[in-house]
Amino acid sequence: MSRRSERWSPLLAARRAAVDALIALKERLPEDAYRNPPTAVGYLLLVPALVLVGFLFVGMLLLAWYSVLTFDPIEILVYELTLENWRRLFATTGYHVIFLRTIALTTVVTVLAVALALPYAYLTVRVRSAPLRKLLLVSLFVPFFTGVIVRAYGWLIVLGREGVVNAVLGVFGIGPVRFLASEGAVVLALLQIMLPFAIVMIAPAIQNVDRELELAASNLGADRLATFRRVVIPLAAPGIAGATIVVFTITAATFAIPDLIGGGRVDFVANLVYRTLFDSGNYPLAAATSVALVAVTSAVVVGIFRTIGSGTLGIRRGGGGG
Amino acid sequence: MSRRGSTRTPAIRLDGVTKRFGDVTAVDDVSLGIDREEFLTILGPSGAGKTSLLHMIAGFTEPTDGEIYIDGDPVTDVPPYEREIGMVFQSMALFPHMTVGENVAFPLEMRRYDPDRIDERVREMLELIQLPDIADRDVTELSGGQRQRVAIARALAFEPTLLLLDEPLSSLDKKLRGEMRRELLRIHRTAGVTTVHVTHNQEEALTMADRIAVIDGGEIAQHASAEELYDRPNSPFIADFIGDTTLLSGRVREHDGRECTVELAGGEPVRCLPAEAPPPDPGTPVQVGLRYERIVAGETVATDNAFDATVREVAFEGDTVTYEVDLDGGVELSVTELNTTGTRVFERGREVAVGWNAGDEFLYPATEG
Amino acid sequence: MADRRRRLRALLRRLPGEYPVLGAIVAAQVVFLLVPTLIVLVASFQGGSVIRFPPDELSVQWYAALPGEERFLAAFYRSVLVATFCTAVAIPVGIATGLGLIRYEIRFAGGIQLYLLLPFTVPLVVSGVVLLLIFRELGVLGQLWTVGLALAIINLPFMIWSVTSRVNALDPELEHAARNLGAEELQTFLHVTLPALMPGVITGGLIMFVLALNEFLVSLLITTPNIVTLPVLIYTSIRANVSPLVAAVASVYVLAAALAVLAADRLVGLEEFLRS
Repeated sequence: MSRRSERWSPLLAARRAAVDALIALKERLPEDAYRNPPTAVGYLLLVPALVLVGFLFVGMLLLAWYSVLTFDPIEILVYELTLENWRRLFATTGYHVIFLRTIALTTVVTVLAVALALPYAYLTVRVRSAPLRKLLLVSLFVPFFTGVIVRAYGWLIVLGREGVVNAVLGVFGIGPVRFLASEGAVVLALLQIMLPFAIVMIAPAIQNVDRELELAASNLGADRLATFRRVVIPLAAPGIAGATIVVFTITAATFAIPDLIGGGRVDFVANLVYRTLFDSGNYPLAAATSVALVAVTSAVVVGIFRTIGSGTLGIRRGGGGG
Repeated sequence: MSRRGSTRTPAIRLDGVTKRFGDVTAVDDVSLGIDREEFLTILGPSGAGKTSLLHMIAGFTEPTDGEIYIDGDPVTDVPPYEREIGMVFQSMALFPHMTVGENVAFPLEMRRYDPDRIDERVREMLELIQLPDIADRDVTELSGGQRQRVAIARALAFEPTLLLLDEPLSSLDKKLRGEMRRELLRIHRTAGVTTVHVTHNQEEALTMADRIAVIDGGEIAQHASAEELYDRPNSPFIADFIGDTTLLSGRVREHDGRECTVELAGGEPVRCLPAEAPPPDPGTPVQVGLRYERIVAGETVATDNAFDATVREVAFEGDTVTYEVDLDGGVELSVTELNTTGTRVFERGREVAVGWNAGDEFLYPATEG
Repeated sequence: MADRRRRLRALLRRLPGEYPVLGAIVAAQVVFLLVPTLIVLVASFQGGSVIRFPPDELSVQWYAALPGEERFLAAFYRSVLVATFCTAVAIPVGIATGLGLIRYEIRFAGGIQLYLLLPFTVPLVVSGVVLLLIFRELGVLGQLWTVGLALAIINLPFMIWSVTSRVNALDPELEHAARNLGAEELQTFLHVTLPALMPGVITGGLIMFVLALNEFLVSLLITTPNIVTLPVLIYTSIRANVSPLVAAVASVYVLAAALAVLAADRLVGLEEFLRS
């Protein structure tokens, strides 16, 4: 304790003075405001977040408004209402292809990511060896924290003409094989981007599955696979729902991977929006395309909500934790 | 109990205190006085409103009705941090991000004590709980018993006028509980602080308290010393809740102004000597309470009441043996015998004699029917 | 048949570890996750001016060249600024939202939660377009703070989650204890509530910072050439050519990620990230 009192005094005095000043300030408020804070305080606390997210909310309305404005190559925007953008979106086969490709590849990536995340999350939560768990966590978070661009770059190096895979194949006298600019390469790279998201969403749900339930299942005659299928997965369903939603919405909006890995041959909706916006400056058409993308992903999200519930995306009060 | 100074204002007084949460009445019109330096235990089953009562005394919630006085002053408008009441929480509520020393120093820091004085007081408190060397430890490293002691040291560090203990021993194992019980009493005597202790454990209450207030359904059922509570429970609820009691229903057949005869449901006549004369009028339905250990069982018995019975179950408890017996008339009784030298343990199915003396029973007017 | 199964099981049991089959699958995933991430590090030590495997020779020349690359340095500096701003905005907002949602009886709490998830349910490219339109309308496009604000908006749910899970886990007896021991409302908050929320705040803050440092798509849409952040600059450089210099720049990110993981492990433990 003596050690502590030596380093206490000046700092402590300053801290006490600061806190006391704040307390004095607080006590100028009406007593009930801090002693029995009214519900209004709760709403007040929510205001900053509501305003921040309000940018997106208002922006969405703005987007809908833009999508019915007229495009002019010189003036860019003419404030005349028109359905031309929507007509073009619906009538152009090229757009259909991009939308369908986005949905199809996103579905493939989502299914694979969730399926692969389950064993990974399970092992991370259940493995008894601490170093092994650490390894799994590090292998999960280092890519997660590295960002899309750097990892896309990594994939270019791995799959490129003079990349790692072709170097290995070359040893056997095969190749060089062109991997890039294919749907397979895009799915592979997207899967690597999305897998950490899926694991992070599913792991807490598995953590909440009581270990004894698994022991009970095996005691009742279920082997490991059956235990996993019949006990772990149903109980982790909220996490799986959350993961599915997150992976789907992020993948459906992806830009970098189709652009860099797909090399313009495997465009997603985001690439279309970007080109419309910056190559032709057609804001109204870009807005219409964006609204269409929102509609499509929302429909999928609502579908998942309906079938497996909102899952871990809901913020729950009390008890179980978020 | 000699410490009780009845002429002074009670240290704390509850006057018609009521707490309602929506439609639920957690505490119902409780009035209670606690004397200076007294150790009062509030005993009740879980959900009886004990914690609500403590929270109102500590100031975490306000009573819906009634008033609480500390040293004669009403405190309803006084926030908890100005009440100078120490409290040991059920979960201990030690701050996990602080060391033991910082936890104990917390109330002193809040009162802006001089740093040297804080150090000194922390040392004193750790000596009081006989753990002088743990000031720099993390609270997460402590054992259950140590956490308990630190929580007490923290609650007493600022010399509160009142100490509240909320089920303080419930998180400890049985052996530690006995040790901590003695420790709490030692600290209570050393610090001489008025203490309100809440528990659902009757044994804890009986061994610790000067007086016990039994609370049930938000109301105080009986407020008395431990001996009085055990020997003269004022209701079948108390008789059943404290100690092991068989409750039998019957009807008064006759009385002579002092002694009476009750006819049990099976037709057996039982001689009773109620503490409060005169006994109930003939024909009154009553309940007879019989402590397991007041009944004797043997080959023959020489008591005021004696019956032939058959042993249905035997539970051997080491120091005692408890029999469940069926009287020939069909009435079921439980009997606890001390297992001393020469005691015979009867086996299941044996014919035995059981009996007890008039006056060993509790007699209550039947509550319903 | 049964015999074969028994022999198979005996074989499986002889494999190392508690979960042999699961372990093999997950090991493959570890390789899959790490190789494209760490390959950038290998490529950055390329001696020649073209990335190829195996490398012609190893050299640190591209790292030596970094201090002279003012464009990259400026973009890096901007990225750090943006990430700092974004985190500084998100932390108080997250704490306030967590406390507001859980501590108070809020009407339409369910609806508000759904609304606060908007940044996750709106596709990122759309968020980018939306923010581009708004900032353009407001005439603030091209100012660096708008990027920080945008990133705070699109990742806000991460912060709110981290904090709410902690508010939920907070033992109310701790706050009772503090008040009982003489701490009035403000000191209870400062000394007990806030420290108890700290792991959640740190987790959320770290996630916000790292994601902001890495954010690409929204930044690509709303940055003008004079405020490009590092991910955007790396992207345009990759499109130009796959020079090992870019690999050296990108390696900075891998190192930053590793550092963040290390910091997270030291500060709150990596397991904490699997809670919310």
